[in-house]
Amino acid sequence: MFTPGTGGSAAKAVDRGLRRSCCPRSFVRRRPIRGPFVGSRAAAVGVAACIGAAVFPGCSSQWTADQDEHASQLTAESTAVHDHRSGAAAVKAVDAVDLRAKLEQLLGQHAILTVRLTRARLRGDGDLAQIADAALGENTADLGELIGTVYGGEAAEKFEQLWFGHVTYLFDYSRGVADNDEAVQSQARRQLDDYTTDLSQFLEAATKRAAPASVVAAELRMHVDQLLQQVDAYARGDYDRAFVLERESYEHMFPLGKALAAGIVTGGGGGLPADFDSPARQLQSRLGLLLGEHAELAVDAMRSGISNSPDFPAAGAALDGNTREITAMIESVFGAASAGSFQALWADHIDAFVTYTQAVVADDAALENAATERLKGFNANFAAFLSTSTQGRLGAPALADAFVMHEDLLLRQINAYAERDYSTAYQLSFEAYQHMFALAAQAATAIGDSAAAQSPTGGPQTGAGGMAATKGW
Amino acid sequence: MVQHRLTGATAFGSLLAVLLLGACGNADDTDTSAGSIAEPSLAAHPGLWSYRSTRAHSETAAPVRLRIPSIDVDTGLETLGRAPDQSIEVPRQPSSAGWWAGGPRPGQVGPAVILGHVDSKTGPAVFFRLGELDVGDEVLVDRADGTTARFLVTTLERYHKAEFPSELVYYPTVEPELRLVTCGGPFDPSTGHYRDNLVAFAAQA
Repeated sequence: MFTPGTGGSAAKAVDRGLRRSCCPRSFVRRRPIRGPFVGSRAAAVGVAACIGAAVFPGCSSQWTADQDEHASQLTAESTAVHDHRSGAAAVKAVDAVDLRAKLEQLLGQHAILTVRLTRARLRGDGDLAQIADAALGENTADLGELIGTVYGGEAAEKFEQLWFGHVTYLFDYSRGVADNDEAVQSQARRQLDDYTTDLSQFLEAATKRAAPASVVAAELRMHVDQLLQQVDAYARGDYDRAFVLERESYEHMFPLGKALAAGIVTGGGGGLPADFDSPARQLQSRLGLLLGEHAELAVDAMRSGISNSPDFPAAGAALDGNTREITAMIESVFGAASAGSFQALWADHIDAFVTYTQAVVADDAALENAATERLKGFNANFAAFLSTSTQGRLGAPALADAFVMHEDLLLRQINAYAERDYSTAYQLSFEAYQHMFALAAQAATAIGDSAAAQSPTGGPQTGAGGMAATKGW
Repeated sequence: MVQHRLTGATAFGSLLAVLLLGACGNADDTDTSAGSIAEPSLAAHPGLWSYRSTRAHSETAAPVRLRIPSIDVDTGLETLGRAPDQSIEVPRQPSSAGWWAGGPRPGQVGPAVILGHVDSKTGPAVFFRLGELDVGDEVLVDRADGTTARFLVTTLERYHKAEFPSELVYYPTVEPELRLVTCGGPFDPSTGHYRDNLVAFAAQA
């Protein structure tokens, strides 16, 4: 079990540095967001439904909520958004599908990185905390850049300040837990409460109430609660629960991203395209979610193994949970026999990653070679399996190349991690995550097309007497 | 572009290190790598050495019975395949429904499809009252292993058979769903067929 306070002076020093880094700062606009970003998610959640409904009459927001001093300050910021938007061409048209995909991917990454930041603090691992903090800064800037493409730089800066604020407060909470400092924990919770109010009001104003503050705030509270609870679980050594919450927090980001994209587009006067949430788009989103999660959980497990961390069994269990969900998706399209074959192959490649991790820990060249040879075998077999299952819609050579890239990124990130080159490790794990969404887009299209080709055609003849015609159905 | 993602972060980290050194004035205090990576110890955490990725795949049992309390449906299920013209087979008995075995099983991720006749030349059939379903009505599918999948109706739609929405009915979904299909609309005595199909969409409860 984790013992609070083991971070010692090094962690406290990091706290001081992170508090500086997390404070409002000059957010520099940088390069365009990286592609490719593909995907969306199927599950229609309450927030999406309500935001969708809010576009039309009959779903008013709860803007009459209490306006305390803090909210008043925020209202001033929100007004700035309004003022900005009231200018000529202040709200720029965006591709709704693309915006949704980018938000889902970036928000999912945010959840994972925040989990890692807080766990690094609980473990008193200053180097890791600093790099996780820096990665979260990049992620926040990317999110802000998306906001900026619609509402301009001023709104983007306000968004980034609010968003990074909640990262700071979550870090502070983990610091309070690690140090057994209840005052710090309480203050962080209060600040997070304010944050949910502030950001939800900001977004309501920006989207002209297409994203009602009450609905957004409820989703933000859920997000915050999941992350706070995972800190508590991790600190008390309940790693299974901590990883369950990590997965829930990650998955929650996808419907939130879809809902925000819908609110941004419709609030700007645009309509949602027909394929914004089509079955094909849902499949892409779901597969992206699962494959992105696979990469991140594999990273978690490998790093845990390298660190000889007691959370390894929980990380492995989380990875298994992800594997079962991917297998279920395969079964729904290709049947139980194919699902069994898929899972055996998939398990082989995960085991090879773990074997590689063992080799690094033991400094065993023979074991390392065995792991890489096992991965080579997987590449050929898995590429052939998927190509056959999709009737050639996915080419085996291209698939094999994609798997080689996946493995190369994961193996190099664990090498870097073992050498304590955390910056490189984070860079590579980010690329591994991003790569999964590109692969998911191609695979989802092929899988969907294969399923459509296997489906019956035409409407069935399920009546013969004419009695039902009188019913008016 | 990706390559420089954390370049700034690294520089920022270096700046932090400088700030921290300045703040603490004690190199030991800023040795943040301490404790981050333990020395390799094969016995310390045996989970790493005993882990084996899950290979146990539990197949969802086949459906054997359909129950829709609100319209008094309680029937066994036939297994349906594809007809030579690529359309779906229909149940042989008007009194029983049938399950499309080429798709997901009820309760499994994806859209399970169950067909039933609305009537026959001799009278009402199993789905005669399907059009009476309301949103929220319960649909139960009993499976061969004794388990039951529970669904709630989300929408009821009518489509011209010539424009049957195969994608909506059969395309993969990301959650367990169910479609109940029968005939509806005007009846053409010359062909002995109805013009339309009635489709009830349901989501797992």
